[in-house]
Amino acid sequence: MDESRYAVNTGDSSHHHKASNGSLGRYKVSTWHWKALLFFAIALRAAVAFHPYSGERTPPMYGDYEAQRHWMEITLNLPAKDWYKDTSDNNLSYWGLDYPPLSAYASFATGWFVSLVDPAAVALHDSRGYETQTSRAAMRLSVVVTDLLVFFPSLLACVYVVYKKSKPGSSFSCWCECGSELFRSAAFCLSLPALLLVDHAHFQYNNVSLGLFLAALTCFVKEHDVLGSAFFCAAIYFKHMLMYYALAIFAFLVSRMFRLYKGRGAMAAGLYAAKILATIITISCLIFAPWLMDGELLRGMLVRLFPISRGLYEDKVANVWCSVSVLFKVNRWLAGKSLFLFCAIITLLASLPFCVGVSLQPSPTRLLLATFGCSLSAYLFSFQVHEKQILIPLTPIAALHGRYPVLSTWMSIAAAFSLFPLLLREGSASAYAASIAIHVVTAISTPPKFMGFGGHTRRERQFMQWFVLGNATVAVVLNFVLIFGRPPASAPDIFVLLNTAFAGMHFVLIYVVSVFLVFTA
Amino acid sequence: MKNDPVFWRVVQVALISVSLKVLLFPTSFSTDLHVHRNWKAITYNRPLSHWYTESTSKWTLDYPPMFAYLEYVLSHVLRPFDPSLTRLVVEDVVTDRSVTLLRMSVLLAEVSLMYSVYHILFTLHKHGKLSPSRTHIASVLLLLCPGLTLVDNIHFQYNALPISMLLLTLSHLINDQKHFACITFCVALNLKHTLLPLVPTVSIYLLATLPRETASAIRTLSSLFVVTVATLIVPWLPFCVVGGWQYIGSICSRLFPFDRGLLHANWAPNFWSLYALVDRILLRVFPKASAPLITSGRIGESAPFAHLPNPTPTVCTALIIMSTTLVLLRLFRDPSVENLLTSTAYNLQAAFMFGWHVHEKAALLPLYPLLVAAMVNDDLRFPFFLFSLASQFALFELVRKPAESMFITAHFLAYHAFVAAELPIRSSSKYAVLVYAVGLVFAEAYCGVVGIHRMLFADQLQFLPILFVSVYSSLGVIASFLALVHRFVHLPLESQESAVS
Repeated sequence: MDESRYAVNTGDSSHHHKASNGSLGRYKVSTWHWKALLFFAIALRAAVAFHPYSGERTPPMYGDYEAQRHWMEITLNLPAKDWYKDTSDNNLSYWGLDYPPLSAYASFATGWFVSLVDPAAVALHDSRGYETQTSRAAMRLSVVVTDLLVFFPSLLACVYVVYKKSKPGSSFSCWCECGSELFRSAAFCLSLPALLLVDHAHFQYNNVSLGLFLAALTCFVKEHDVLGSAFFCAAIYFKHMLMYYALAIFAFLVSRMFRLYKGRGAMAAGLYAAKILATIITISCLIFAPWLMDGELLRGMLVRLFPISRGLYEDKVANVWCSVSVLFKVNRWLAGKSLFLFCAIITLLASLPFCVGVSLQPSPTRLLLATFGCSLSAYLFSFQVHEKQILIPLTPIAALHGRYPVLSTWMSIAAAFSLFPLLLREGSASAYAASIAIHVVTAISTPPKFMGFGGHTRRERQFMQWFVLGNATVAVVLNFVLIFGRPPASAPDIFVLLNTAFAGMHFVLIYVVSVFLVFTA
Repeated sequence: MKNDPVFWRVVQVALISVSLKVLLFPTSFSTDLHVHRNWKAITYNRPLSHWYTESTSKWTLDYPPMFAYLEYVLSHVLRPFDPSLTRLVVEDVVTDRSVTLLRMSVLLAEVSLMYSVYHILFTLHKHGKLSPSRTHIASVLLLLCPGLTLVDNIHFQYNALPISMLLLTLSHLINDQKHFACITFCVALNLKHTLLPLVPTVSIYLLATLPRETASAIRTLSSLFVVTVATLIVPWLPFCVVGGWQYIGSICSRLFPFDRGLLHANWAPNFWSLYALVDRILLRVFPKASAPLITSGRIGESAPFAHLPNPTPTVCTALIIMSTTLVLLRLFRDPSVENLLTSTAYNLQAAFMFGWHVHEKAALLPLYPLLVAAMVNDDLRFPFFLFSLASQFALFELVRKPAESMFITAHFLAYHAFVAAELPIRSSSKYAVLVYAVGLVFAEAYCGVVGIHRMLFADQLQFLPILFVSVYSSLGVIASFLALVHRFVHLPLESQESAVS
């Protein structure tokens, strides 16, 4: 509710003008505004959480909610050695743990929290498909709590440092003086519909892994590279899909090392590399400690983490392979290992410009753009992609909202749109529409600074208007077709495919724009 | 409208507000949803002559005629989408589809609130009382009020409708459109008769702002009289035609259930709640054999008090009139915009304080004019803040479910943090608000759905948290009321002020 107050793009030009000058004049953001924003973000999450979760009341397998609950049950009741092993107490074919250990530890912690409220919800064997009002509320609350503990602080810190880096002065006490721009960016990031819907409606803990990643970014920007790599490692050990970022981070760190080498010699560079390597090894050893001694266990875990046998994509995803599958099917043309290799090579090629861009100049903006670009390439071209993985590219570009408001808004809405088929299936279509509306009202409050050149002349503004209006109309029509349309029997998935392909088209466009940006930022 | 600075601001906030309320569709509702569904069934299935006598379900129609017509219209609009919505049955059964339809119909009431908010903010802006950016803040505070969201969109009622009529009335009065004001006020009365205590305020303001010359004054007065009587009476005429005076009498007895007793099941946070507490304490100290049992509610008890005198409806009415007379005199002498808003808020608050069988939900009626008054007049920020905290906290008792509690608590905190940011109190009384707010945190920690009380006693002594909430809130409400009284006593009249300067 508070962010709407800053929504100045209301059609009267005087206010529009004031906003583009950077400060909103008499609007001074006080600490109470920040408190209001945080509480409103919580209220928004609580409101989205009223909607159905994945697999609600659909035995025998249920959905992601049941997976998370089952992991709590397993981690809480079994010793760590048995978590990834098929035993009489742990049937791996029923939502066996397939996330890295840090995620399992988090399941242990949230499971402990849930067991405080309702022990029956995480009882071994007996709790399968356990769905009561109280346990549901406890599970939902646990996501909000992880949001508060991990995602909110690191998000705010990241938005702050990225914003501050382009302005002089860096004392932490000037949160308030930074004023409404920073506030607006924070409001934008706290209301990302895609993240809200996946974590709080569909039910997952992406907020933790993405929060750890944002913490890593914050450290990198503040030039605490060792701490940053530790956080990044932790993020990957929470959700290994965050390896989508790895190329960009690697290029960034190598470039920093190279600069050290040029500036202060080989010793400094070597020490730098050694410190980072030592950190990574220490963190890995700590996290994998229960399984380290037993090679068999470790291999079993890795097989569970990387299910190469599972196919090119899951369901219908807004990536390139799925979108072009109408015309020709890549997985018919190639199979097994060669398909996997083919995807890997294309992904590498697509990520290359970003790696080069960030290596040439390891600035904060380029770092964020590179992580965005690499993860978007991975989403578009890599093997075994889920629709929910769009959150991975979304996070860094959202944190850049202060610099590229139009691009990040575009990405945010396209990401939410790409999730629509999933949400419709789960019965949260109204939550989808409502959270996008709330987000958009926040987003239109920022003046268009499209790629640094948009919106200056009348023609550009007009083009922007038509582009936004036209695409929004198509998107709404496609959504309605999916809800009400009856697909022909020969192509039952055609409407889903149309939706995801439209989103995929936008992702490709955004990809092209960001390639351009990473070299000009 | 393109160049209207207020319109687009209200539209933005309205979009957020509607979206938030759509998110609340799956929340758990109270029996009031069954009540309103049943009223739709009654008005759909029964002829006019049986609307107020029909009693298949225990949820009989007890709102004024205009509301009955509204239910009639809604039932016909909604029935095609789900015929089970208008089934006249004894049990409380409702399909998921009906729930969604009913929730959507509340959003229609919300639209009317949005229009009235735009109307009154535009009026205040036009009269130079609010800058465009302040109208933006005011629209956030008016449209995203957690109390109304809780009662309308979670608990289920149509309070946005009478409130919007009240705001429209005030807006027309400020605009000096007396006839429109009369019409909207009569509509408001015919929607929710608990607005009756406002009749003196509106009439006195109308009288005080009559033209100076006698001839045109009389002309205006007579035309106002005609308009008022027409809008007030017309909705009742069909009932009179089909059922005669007897039917009107039975409708009135439904509307004013004096036999329901002074206190509602959950004590509303007003004067009587403290009164009842004192009586309970006295009973503890001096036990009495024939004392009424302590239960959470005492519906229908005509004499709930053991030691203190039991008031009658007449006493309540007398208290309301006594506490408002001076303020009304003041309004007559100085009919300014500020005074109109303040008096409206004050009089509704007085009715809430001393009224007979007041619900905690009734606190929303004074809240809205008080908020508008506080937007215009900085001195009223303290009473508004206190009243807003206390009265909306008392509403938490309506939804003691974990998920709903989490949402409404966060929304409540966000709202009041925003109030603190935008309507800061500059005097030392801000510490009083702070202390009270900290107390609220403890109260919620004790009474909340995972609060200390439920941990210690499980399901025993259930009346204790309810009593605690109502007494603590009533402290805030009374303090806010006294602050308003204090303001009225100490503020010089505008005419005197100008004479001094």
